[in-house]
Amino acid sequence: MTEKNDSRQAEDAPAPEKKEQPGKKAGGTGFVDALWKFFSSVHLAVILLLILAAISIIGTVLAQGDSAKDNIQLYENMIVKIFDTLGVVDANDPASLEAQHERTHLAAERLYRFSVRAGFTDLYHAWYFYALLALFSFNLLVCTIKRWPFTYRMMAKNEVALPEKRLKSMQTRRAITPGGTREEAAAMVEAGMKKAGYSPKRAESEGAVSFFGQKGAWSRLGVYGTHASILIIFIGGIIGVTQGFKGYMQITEGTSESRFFDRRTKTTMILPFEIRCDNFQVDYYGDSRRPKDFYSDLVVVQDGEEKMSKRIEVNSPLVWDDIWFYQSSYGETGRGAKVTLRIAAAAASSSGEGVVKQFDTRPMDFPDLGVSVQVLQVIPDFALDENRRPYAKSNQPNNPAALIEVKGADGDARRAWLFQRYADARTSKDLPATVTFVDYGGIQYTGLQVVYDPGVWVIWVGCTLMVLGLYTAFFTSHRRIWARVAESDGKVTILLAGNANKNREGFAETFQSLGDRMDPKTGEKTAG
Amino acid sequence: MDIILHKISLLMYAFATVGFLLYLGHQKEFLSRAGSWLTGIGFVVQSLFLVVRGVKAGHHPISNLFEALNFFAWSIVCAYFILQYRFRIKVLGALVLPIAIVLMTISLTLDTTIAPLIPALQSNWLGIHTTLAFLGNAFFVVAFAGSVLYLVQERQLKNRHLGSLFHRLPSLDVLDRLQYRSLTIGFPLMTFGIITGAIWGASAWGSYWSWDPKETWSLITWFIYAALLHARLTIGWRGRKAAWLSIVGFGAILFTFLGVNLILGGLHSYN
Repeated sequence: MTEKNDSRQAEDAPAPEKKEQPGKKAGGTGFVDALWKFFSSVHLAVILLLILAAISIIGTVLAQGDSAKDNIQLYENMIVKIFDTLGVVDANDPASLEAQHERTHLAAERLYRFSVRAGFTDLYHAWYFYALLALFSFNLLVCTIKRWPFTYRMMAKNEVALPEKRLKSMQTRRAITPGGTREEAAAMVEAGMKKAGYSPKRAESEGAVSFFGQKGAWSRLGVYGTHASILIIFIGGIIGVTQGFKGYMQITEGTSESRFFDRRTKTTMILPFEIRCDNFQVDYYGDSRRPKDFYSDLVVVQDGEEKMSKRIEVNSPLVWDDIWFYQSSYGETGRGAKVTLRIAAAAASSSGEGVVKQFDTRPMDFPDLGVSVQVLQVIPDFALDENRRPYAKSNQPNNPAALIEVKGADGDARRAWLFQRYADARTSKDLPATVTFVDYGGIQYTGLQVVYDPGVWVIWVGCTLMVLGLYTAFFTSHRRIWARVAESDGKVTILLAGNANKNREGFAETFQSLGDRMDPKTGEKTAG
Repeated sequence: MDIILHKISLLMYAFATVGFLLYLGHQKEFLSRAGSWLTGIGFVVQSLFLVVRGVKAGHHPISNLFEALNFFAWSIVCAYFILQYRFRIKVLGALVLPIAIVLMTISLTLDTTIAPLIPALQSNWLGIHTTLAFLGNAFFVVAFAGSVLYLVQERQLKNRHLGSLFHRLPSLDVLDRLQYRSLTIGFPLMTFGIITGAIWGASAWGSYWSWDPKETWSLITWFIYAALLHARLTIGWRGRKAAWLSIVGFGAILFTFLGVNLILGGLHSYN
C-alpha cells in the first residue's frame, strides 16, 4: 500500500516507504516487527498530524479554563441558537425564550458536565492530548531513525565510477566531444568541476576516467535538525510543566508582597523574597481612556535588603532568582487617595525631574533639585466657602486639589494649592521648584504574572534548531555531479550527469554552464 | 489621503483581474501583460499606502482588522510576484487577485481610523512576527490558487473535453510544482512566524505558548501543511489529493484570520 514510487519524485525523496528489506530484523518476533512497521510509517505521521489538527479545533470553540458559569452560559447560547434554527425557540421572542429557559439551561448544564468529564474544558492538558503528542513523538523518532541509513548513503557513500548506463538514465545529463586526448579531456573536466566548487574525486575503471563531486551534502541533515527540534521543544515543554510554575500576584502600591496564587496547583505559594511596589502608573492616549502604557516600580527585598529595582511594563519584565515578573493587570484597591506630582527645577539652568506619589503626608526629598516636597492636604472636589476657606464639595474627584509645601535649599518653605484641572491657577507662583499636579486617584494595585520556567531555554534551543533545520531543508540542496571520460574508436567523449534533491531549475542552470565551459561548441561564448 | 491610495490600488487590482480574465477568453498576449503591469502598479500604490499608514501611526500598520486585512492582501500579491518570477503562469492572477480584492473590500466596511497601540503590542516583534506569519500564509494562499487551477485542469482532462480553457491553463505538472514551491517557502516562513510569536509572548506575557485561539489555529494550519508536505515528500501524494488538502489548509488560514477575530475573538482576544 505504501509503494508509490512515482518517477518524478525519485530524485527528490528517494525514501518513499520501502518494503522491509528481506533478511532484516532476523529473530525479531512478529509482534515487534509489526509494531516497528506501524511506528515507522509516514502515513501514521500524516494521520496523527491531521487528528491533532482536528482535536485542537474543539479547544478553540469551547472556552478553556473559564469559570463554569461562563461556559454554561456559552453552551446555553449555542443551544438556543440551535433550537432557534430548529424552530423550537424563537430567539427574538423573550416569552418563548422564557418558556424554554429551564430546558435550555438544563441541557447546557448537562453538556458542560459532559465536556468537563471529556476534558474539553482543558483540552490541551487532557490525557488523550498528551497521549497523541507522545504517539506523534515516537512516530517521528522511529521514522527519522529509519530514514538515516539512506541519507548516510546519499551523503557519504557515492560511487565515483558509476556505469555508463546509470549516468545515461539521469534526467540531467550531457554528452560532449571535446577533441584532444582522453587525458586532456579528463584534466579539463577535473578543473571545470573544481572551479564550480565540486572538488571532484577521480577513479579509473574499464578504460574510462570517472569523476564525482558534490555540494551541499549537509542539506540532507535539515530534516533531522527539524525533527530533533520538535522533540527538543516537547522536552522543554515537559520541563516547564513539571518543574516550573505560573502564578499571579497583586501588590498594593506602597506595600510588599511575597505570596502568589499558583495557577496549576490552585494554591497560594510564598516566594523566598518580597516584591515591593513603590509606584504604579497608567498613561493614557491624550484625553482618552485608552491606556498607552502602564508600569510598576518594583523593588526586590530579600532578608531586609533591597536587592534590585526595576520599572516593569508589559513588554519588559523583572527577573530575580530565575523568576520572571510580568506586568499583567492593575486595578483600584478602593482604599485611600493618592496624588501624583511632577517636580522640575524652577531655574532653566538646572534640570531634573522627580515624581511625588503621596499616600501619606511625609515630606519627600529631591536632592538633585535641592528641594523637599510635602503634601499637606488633599481635596477631591475643591471649593471655597463664604470665608474663602477651602472645603470639599463632594467626595467625587471633580476638582482635585492639593496643598503642598516646598522647602528650598535655604530652608525657606512655601505653600501653594495645586489643581489637577487648572494647571495655571496656582495660588503661589514663587515656589523653589516647578510642581505639576499630574494625577489624583485611589491607591491602585498592580497585577503581576509570576513565572518560573526552567524549560524555556530548552525551548529556545529547539526553536533555533528548527529555524536552521527548516532553512537547510527547504532552501539548500544537495547537488551531485558525475563525469565519465571515455575513448572509443579514437573519439573522446565526456558524459556529464548529475542531480539535485531540490531546486532542480537552479541546478539545471549550473549544470548547463558547467557543460558549456567544457564543450568546444559553446566554450568560446562562455569563456569570455 | 491613505484611504485614497487604498482605493487606487484596489481599482488597479480589479482592472488587472479583468485583464487576466479577458486573457483567459481571448488569449491575446497584451491582455496578460497589461494585467501584470496593473498588478505591479497596484502593488506599488498599496505598498505606499502601508508606508503612509505606518508613518502616520508610528508603528507597523497592523493594529486593527482594517490594517491587517490590507497587509494580508499586500502579502498575497507579494507572494504572487515572487512565485511568478519563476513560474510565469499567465492566468494565476485571475485567481489570486480576487482573493486580495475581497479582503480589501471587506476592509473598507471596517473602522479605518488609526488606533494607537495597546501596551502589549508596543514591541519591535510586532512587525517581525506579523510579517513572517502573513507572508507564510500568503504563499499558502497562492498554493491554494494553484490547487484550484489544478483541479479545474484535471477535470477537463478527465472529461476528455479539452475545452477552450484547456490550452489557456498551464499543465498539471507546472501547477503541481507551483503548489509544492509555494509550500516550501510558506511553511518555513509560517514556522518562523510562530517562533517569533513565541519569543514575543514569552517576553510580554511570560508564556511562549498560551493556547490562545489565534495561536491554536495557526498551529492547526501548521499541522495541516506539515501533513501535506510529508504526504508529498515521503508518501508521494501528488496532484488531486495534494490539491484538496491544500484547499483544506486554505480554509484553516481563513478561519485563523477572520474566524478567530470575528467569531472566537469575543472570548479570547489579544485586547
